[in-house]
Amino acid sequence: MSDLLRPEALFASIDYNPPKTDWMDVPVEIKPGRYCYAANPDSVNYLGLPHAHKWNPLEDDWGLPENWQEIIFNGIRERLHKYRSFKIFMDICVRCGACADKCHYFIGSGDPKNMPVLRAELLRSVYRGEFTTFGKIFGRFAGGRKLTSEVLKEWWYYFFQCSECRRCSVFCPYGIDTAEITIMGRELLNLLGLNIDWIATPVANCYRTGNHLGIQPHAFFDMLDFFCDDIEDITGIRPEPSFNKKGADILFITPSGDVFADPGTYTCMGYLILFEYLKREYGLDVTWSTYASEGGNFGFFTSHETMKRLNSKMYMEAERLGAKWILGGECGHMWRVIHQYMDTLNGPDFQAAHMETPVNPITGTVFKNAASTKMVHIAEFTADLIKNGKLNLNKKRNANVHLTWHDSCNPARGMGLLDEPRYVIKHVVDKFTEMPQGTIREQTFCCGGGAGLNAGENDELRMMGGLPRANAVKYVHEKYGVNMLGCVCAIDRAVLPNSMEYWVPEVDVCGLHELVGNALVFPGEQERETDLRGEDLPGEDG
Amino acid sequence: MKALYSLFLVFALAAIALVGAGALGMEHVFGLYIPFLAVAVFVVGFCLKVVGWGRSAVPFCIPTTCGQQESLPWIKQNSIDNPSTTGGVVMRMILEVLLFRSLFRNTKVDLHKGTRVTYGSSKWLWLGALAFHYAFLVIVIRHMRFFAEPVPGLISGIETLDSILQIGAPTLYLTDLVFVAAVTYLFLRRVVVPQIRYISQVQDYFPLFLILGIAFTGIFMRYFVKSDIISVKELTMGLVTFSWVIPEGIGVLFYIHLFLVSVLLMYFPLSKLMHMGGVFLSPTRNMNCASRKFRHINPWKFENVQYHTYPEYEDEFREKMVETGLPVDKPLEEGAE
Amino acid sequence: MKLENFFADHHKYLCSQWTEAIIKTYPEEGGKFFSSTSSQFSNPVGHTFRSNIERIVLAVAKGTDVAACTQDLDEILRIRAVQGFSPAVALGFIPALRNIVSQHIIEKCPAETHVALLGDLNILVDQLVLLGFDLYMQCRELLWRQKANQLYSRTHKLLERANLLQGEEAAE
Repeated sequence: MSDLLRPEALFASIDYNPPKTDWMDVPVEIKPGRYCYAANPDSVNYLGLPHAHKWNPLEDDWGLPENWQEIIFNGIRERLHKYRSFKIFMDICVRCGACADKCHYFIGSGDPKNMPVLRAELLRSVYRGEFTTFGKIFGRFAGGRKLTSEVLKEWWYYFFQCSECRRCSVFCPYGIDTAEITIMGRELLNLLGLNIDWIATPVANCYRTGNHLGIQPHAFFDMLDFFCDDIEDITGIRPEPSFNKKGADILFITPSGDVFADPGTYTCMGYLILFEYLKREYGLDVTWSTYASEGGNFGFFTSHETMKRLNSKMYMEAERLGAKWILGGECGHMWRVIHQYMDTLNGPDFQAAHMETPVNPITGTVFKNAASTKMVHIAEFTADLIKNGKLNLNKKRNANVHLTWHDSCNPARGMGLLDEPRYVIKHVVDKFTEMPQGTIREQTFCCGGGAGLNAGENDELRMMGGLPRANAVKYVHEKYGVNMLGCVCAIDRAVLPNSMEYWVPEVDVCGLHELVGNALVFPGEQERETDLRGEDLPGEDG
Repeated sequence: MKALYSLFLVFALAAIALVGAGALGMEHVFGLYIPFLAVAVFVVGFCLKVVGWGRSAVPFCIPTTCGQQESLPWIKQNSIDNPSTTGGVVMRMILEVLLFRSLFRNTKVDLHKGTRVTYGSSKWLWLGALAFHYAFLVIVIRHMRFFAEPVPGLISGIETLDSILQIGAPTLYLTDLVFVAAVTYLFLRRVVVPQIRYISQVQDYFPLFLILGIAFTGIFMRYFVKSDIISVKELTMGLVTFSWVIPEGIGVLFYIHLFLVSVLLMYFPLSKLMHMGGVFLSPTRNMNCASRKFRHINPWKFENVQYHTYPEYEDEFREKMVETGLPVDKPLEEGAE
Repeated sequence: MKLENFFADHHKYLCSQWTEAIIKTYPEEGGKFFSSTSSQFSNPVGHTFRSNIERIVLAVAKGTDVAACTQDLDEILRIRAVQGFSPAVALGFIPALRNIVSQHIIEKCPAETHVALLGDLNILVDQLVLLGFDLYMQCRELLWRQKANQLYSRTHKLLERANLLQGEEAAE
């Protein structure tokens, strides 16, 4: 009987309470639900990436090449030379801990190795132990350690638990960016063929068919045709988008997630409606491309070189079609790549001479901020149209929406796109409430699935990582009745619906241009009975 | 444990100086050779490290943008946290280096009594770090009086300000108090906050103890075991004018102080203390954020990059494209062979 | 004395002990972080544990039905269900309440009341365990459903959009 009074004793045997050891002595334990499956060797091979092989993270033997340490060392040496960021970030961290509680994965999981500083120390300790004289002599005393296969597994496990959202780098007094370290770590792992399938296969697809999902040109066309059918049903107006049209003024590229997965599809319908409206009213000449049918770039999560290879298609296609500039859809890391990498990576090689500083042909606004890259974000484009009174918008069509805005990580911290979407929101939605400060704008929380981590198998990681964001949504939902979470990122639109369904089931997820598409009124269009989701519109008095 | 190691190490260093300069009478070694060597190691090491960083390329423009970008003219840009001009970048760096702006961001959002959202600050780290670095700076400047004759007005001015409270004789320097308090705070948070303790290494405790050791020996010399300032200045002036002398009557405490400073100088370029130089070179802070406006050039090239061109793509999918009515560059017959 | 009154009198102690029992299932540094600040937005896990435990204890002290604790318990278990614990560990903090309360009863209450109080306690804890089990399973089922849906919608949509399901649609 007395045993029954001691449930604690009963559970003591399964208590997860590790010994008080130094983190370097805590062996990595690869837990299901927190990692993504190993890459399919066919995808790795298709891309010609090194050491494609079949392996399983749960097995002891990862099928590493004999000289794997040498490969890693050479890789580190090369990168220290090529990237000042990497070299400086290896040297100057003082472990002040300002970043420690800033990572959404740490906040959600409590796993100490998810503190940004420690995630970086995983690599830094090897740098000190193998590359600095001081570290080689004093070893552990100098914070150094040797590269063993255990350490390598730890790298793999934790570098694929970072969504490269850069939130920690906002708070670091030296601007140390864990994303940068994760990128290097993943590049090194990639040298040994240790990629994850959720990244490698989309990259291979994108390389071949132009988009991550491997949608072939005819299917891509069919999908957009489907949306046009739906739009016709709802609005009575059938958009006639152009594809691969030579001589179009503007090439439009959006993440393929928008074409494929709900609720991104509604955003995609929003683009179609907007372009059709502008074509009919002002003769805007925009074309979609099936060859460059992916805005996102999972190559970024593989290596800088792979990013370059995928990104090159945008400029190549603009050249082939003779487009003056490129308009980009709503996407997160796509915009980090476009804003901070594209022009450097591919501008000199592939940007056609005929491309011009983007000018909005309708308003005459010159997008000077995109003078060199020649690519404009659709939120910038739409905000400019609204400012110049070029759109006839009826907010009442969104009257059933009480919106809050999730600043997607990469447009926020790798670009600074903060007020353009808010300006658009102000003109398409009546009820808008911000989440608490410290969870929005440059301090925004990741959705939990960035950087290629939105696979099905790591759902627990995503849910834990999504908690800080969901928690802030929950607050505005409970306090102000918010029922819709808007965002400008295709990964957000893939990850947040599940996260919301789990944490705050009453809140839905949408993109910016879904709201625009709902609000936009064509001259003489039929009375809409539903929104783009096919849900009944509230009465005009709302 | 790591803290104890470090403490022990600093005691050991002090003991070396105590025995060396005291019992063994090696004042020359501890008063002249080691300090001189230390300065040389510091200067050379610091420069090598910075040059080493400088020799690594900055291939991409990767600043962390912490505010609204420059876009449409009527959208208010945050020109400091997301600068698009050199002036903006300079301002950002000044705020970062002089005021530790990023640490200042460390706010905690909270609900006051479950109803009102409040933005309480967790600015202690910022305050502690700022106090520590500025007190250190003032102390270093004050010490310059040992290396200049006559003492420049600026230095004596700072000294006067620092002792403005006129407590005790010799008058108490405010920075001494602030400095010891700040170092103690920085040490305590490493021991008390569990996350910080977990990430702390010997390398984090050691410089703190070393600096604390330097502070204590200095304070003792000034306020308690008064050292012969005239002789000390004779020695330090000798060091900078290369007319090396060891005056009589300098207490052993001074040699301990000097030895610990020498160790700090030598340790500096090998350690995280190099953040002093690194903060200026950090690409996520010191670059112009308007990277779509100005092309950043990568100094190195990717070699043998494979691309998937449009003609290759069309060759693979031409039939399907034609069937769907998508335009193609080459007609079907020609490509289908 | 009734169990409610005992909870009302000792709610502070019970809350802190019970929260502690949850925190103990995490690695030390993470656990300390969860128990460190009260901030709702920078530490949602710790905040939820602390405030919801408190509400549950107060609800018991008021003598309300266990069903009234559903939402509070749900919010805790929703977090526990995605943190990689085995079901026993994820739910273990609920039966842990039995030990915390019974020891305290034995210490603080006269011996003649023990049997009645402990009897009520057993019922309470059993109810909470069963409720928790339901809630935990709902969370896990939702996660699995999402996984299944993801696969379904991916393949189904691709087929549908590639016009391979026309026959099926025509049949509908």
